[in-house]
Amino acid sequence: MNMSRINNIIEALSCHEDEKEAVRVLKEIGTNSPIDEVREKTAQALIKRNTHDSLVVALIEKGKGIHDLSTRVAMSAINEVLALEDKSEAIKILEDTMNLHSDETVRDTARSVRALVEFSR
Amino acid sequence: MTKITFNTKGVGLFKSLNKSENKTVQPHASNPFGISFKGNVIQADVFETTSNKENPGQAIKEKGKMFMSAVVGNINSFNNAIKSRLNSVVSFGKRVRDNVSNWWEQAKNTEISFDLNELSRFVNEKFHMNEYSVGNLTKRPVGELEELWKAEMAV
Repeated sequence: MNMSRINNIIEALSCHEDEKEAVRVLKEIGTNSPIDEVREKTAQALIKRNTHDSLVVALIEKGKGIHDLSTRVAMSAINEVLALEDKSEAIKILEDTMNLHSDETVRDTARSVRALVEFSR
Repeated sequence: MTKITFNTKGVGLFKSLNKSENKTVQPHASNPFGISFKGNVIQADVFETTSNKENPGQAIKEKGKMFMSAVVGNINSFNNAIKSRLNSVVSFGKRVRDNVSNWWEQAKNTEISFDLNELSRFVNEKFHMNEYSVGNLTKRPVGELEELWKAEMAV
């Protein structure tokens, strides 16, 4: 496995014109990968896209993005959220997750990240 | 009774004036003290300040001499500096020449061969690196990227 090639593919998908297909491939292959580095890069790519569909995967779905079981992956995703220039969509999704998600741990994580975003402003 | 005419009176008047004009300048006139040593009157001032005042041209000449001597001294030191630099340049040139001749000797005794397999591998690698560059990948459809990703994960 050539990691630099995979990184390039993920980066290409993060700025690909075909939004829907790119997010689908990142979600199916990247977020389900057993390799931490691949999941980390995938979460960063999804957040970097900064669209509703890509942020939903990284901020709401349990076990993915900021909710990943690997601390390294989750922290990288949170850092990427904090580094976003336009955080409006991310804040909106985080607030919906805090209020409406069925899973309590997901709600708590979303609340923590929302607070961090507020502090980083 | 004598007649007083303009002519006689005028001659008498101008006589006194003529006398004052006929005063001769003494050789020791510049020496206000008129000091004499063993009977000889000093003919000129021995005080440097008064002589300088009287001959400013002499002072300028002396200054000019000092200036010229300084210039000559500087020229000599400048020549020495140029000579030393030229010597260092010449030694550097000699060293370069020796190095070039050594390199040429080494080159003559070196065998040059091309490993075509290695060369093709290198070119292939460079070509694939370019193929997997982000700029090229973004131009390809997502389906192809998905296949490439799966292939890389399977390796």
